[in-house]
Amino acid sequence: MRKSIKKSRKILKKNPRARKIRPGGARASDVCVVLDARRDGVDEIYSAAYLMIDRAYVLLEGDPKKSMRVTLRPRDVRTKASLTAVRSDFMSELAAQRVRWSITRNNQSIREYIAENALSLAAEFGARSEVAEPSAAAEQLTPDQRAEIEKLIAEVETEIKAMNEQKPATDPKAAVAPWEAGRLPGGENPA
Amino acid sequence: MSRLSALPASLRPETSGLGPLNFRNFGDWGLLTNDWGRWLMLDKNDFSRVLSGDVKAGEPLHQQLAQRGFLREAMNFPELAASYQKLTSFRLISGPSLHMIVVTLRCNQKCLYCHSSVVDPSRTDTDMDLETAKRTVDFIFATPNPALCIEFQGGEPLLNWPVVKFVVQYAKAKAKEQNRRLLLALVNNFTLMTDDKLQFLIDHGVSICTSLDGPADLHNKNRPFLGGGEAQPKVVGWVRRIMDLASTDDLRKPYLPSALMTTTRFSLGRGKEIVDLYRDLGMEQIFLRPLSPIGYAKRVWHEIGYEPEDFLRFYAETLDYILELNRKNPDEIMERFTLVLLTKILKGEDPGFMDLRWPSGAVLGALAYNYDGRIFVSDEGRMVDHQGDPIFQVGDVARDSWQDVLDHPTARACAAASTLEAQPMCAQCAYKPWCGVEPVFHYEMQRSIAGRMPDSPWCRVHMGEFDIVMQRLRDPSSRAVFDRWLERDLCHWQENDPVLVPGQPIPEALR
Repeated sequence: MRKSIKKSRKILKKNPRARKIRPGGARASDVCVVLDARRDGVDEIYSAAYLMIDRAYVLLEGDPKKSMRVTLRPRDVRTKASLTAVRSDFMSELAAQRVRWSITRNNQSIREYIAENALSLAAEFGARSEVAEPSAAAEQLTPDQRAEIEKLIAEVETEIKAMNEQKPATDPKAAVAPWEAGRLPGGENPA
Repeated sequence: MSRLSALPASLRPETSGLGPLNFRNFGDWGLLTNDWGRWLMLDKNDFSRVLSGDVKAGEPLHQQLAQRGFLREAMNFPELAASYQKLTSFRLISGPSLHMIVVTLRCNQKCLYCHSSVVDPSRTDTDMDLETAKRTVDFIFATPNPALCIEFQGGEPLLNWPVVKFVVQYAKAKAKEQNRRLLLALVNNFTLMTDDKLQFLIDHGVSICTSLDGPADLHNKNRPFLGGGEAQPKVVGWVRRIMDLASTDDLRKPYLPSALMTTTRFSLGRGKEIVDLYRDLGMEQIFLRPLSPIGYAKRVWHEIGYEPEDFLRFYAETLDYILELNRKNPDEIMERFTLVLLTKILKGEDPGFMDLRWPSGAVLGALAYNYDGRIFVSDEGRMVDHQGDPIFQVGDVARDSWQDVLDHPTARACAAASTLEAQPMCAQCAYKPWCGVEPVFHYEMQRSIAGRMPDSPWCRVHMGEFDIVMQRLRDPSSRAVFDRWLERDLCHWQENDPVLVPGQPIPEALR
């Protein structure tokens, strides 16, 4: 404990700005807004705070059932103007959030009802359309098809073997050679 | 500035009469959207009136709001449910449709941004062998989606040509046996293409896709060839040759080559030149793709990367150039990503674009198969493994069944993490009906498969692209071009058998 106090004093000596650190982590140069969670709404406060994270570091404290404190620290240089702008932005976001959340709450049952109807329509549509059944497939080939596939595999295997025998291992397709060098086999270049 | 957009300070909101909706305030106008893909653009005054509950019954605006399901008192439930089902049909299909097979890790190019984890052409030990190839095809045909697309990737897949040939023939035999719809697509760099190979691909209906980043100096800088030499003339030469074949009807339109471009720092400011090259080659579409800071690209990001805002500027400038061309000639080139968004926004349909859906395409929409038979949630997930982190592996064709893969904890985690309803910011975003998040991208960028959207580059790029398209939709002349694009796209699918282009959306007809 004593060590920790000594360490804090050292930090304060080295960094005068650290003196301004207040309980809860806020500095004098941060923007602090205290809100009534019952009046302003917890969802509204969280949403407005979230929308600020591209411009500021945000700290939320307090009791979501009573009062909440929002601390905003601008991401860029903190000037009086930037602090004012951040506060104004947050209050503006909060005002828009009140409208957005009000619409959302008023209409939740309507959205659910329409989504249910859409799902019913889709189920109807799905029942009418042909959906392929999962299949292991290879086992379901007819003997003729199986023979054809086996022939195909044999042909490709031969082709791969021939290709590997023809090409040097280091550059099987002569792909690293520039075209200008004219080293590609005939027919490999477009007309 | 608020990512979701703030409300006018003077607004006195009254929401009791409003149905479920999200909004976006552009300052002089506003956007309303809902879960079912309905949307409405409003001028500043009407936007405020709607959110203040000041729109009275009998007003034309009241009717517009009611028709789109924005008013609680006038909701057509069956119609909205049908819209919802149409827009999110992919959620109700059982099993992945896109299967990416990495037949080799070898490649003869060393692209600056490549996240495919390629190895030297001499490393034949990273070629898929026949047994694994057969098991992979068997596994794919044990998944339940009635329509399957097998996409060959690498490395450079033509370096393991015999296995490509085998998979094509074997998969076609199985598709016939099981009466499944099968699409085959090859992503290649054209440097190893030959007449015989091309003929085989045409004969077997394999569509071909390549990478073309732009004019020679740009392409060659982005995609250097191992051992020196210029890669771009090779790509351009083959594209021209195949286009010529198509003009003589030897090749059906679905098998026209398509190309993807990747935007690096060197591409910025050169959109016009890139588009003009694609036009010169007769390409119907160009896909302006941002660079993903994943894998190798992450390591060299300081050299080739950029801020999302840089890409958005490039996207907007290039799109405006394309729109200008289309105003003069209705058959001009189209931009693919815009078309994806338009299909969702204007047609209320899902175009099958794996990167922009929720839950994400990981396992539910697509799977990637490594050369050694291991199965990953996506090609990007496979690349993370190549860097030594197997977190996105969900199985192995040698031992696991489709049910094992579907039940894998990683598959479940990816689905949960990419559900926008559970994302604090996405759930309130006006673009939620049409957007999506990618777990692998966010794991790489933010060490969280769910990601943190307020400072996610993924979100900044996609939200910005939605903003750009929405802003242009307000302009009548751009809107007319967009409507024409959707007609042309539809005609394309109707005139031909549906085609799947690697890296591009799967046509609805196939899902």
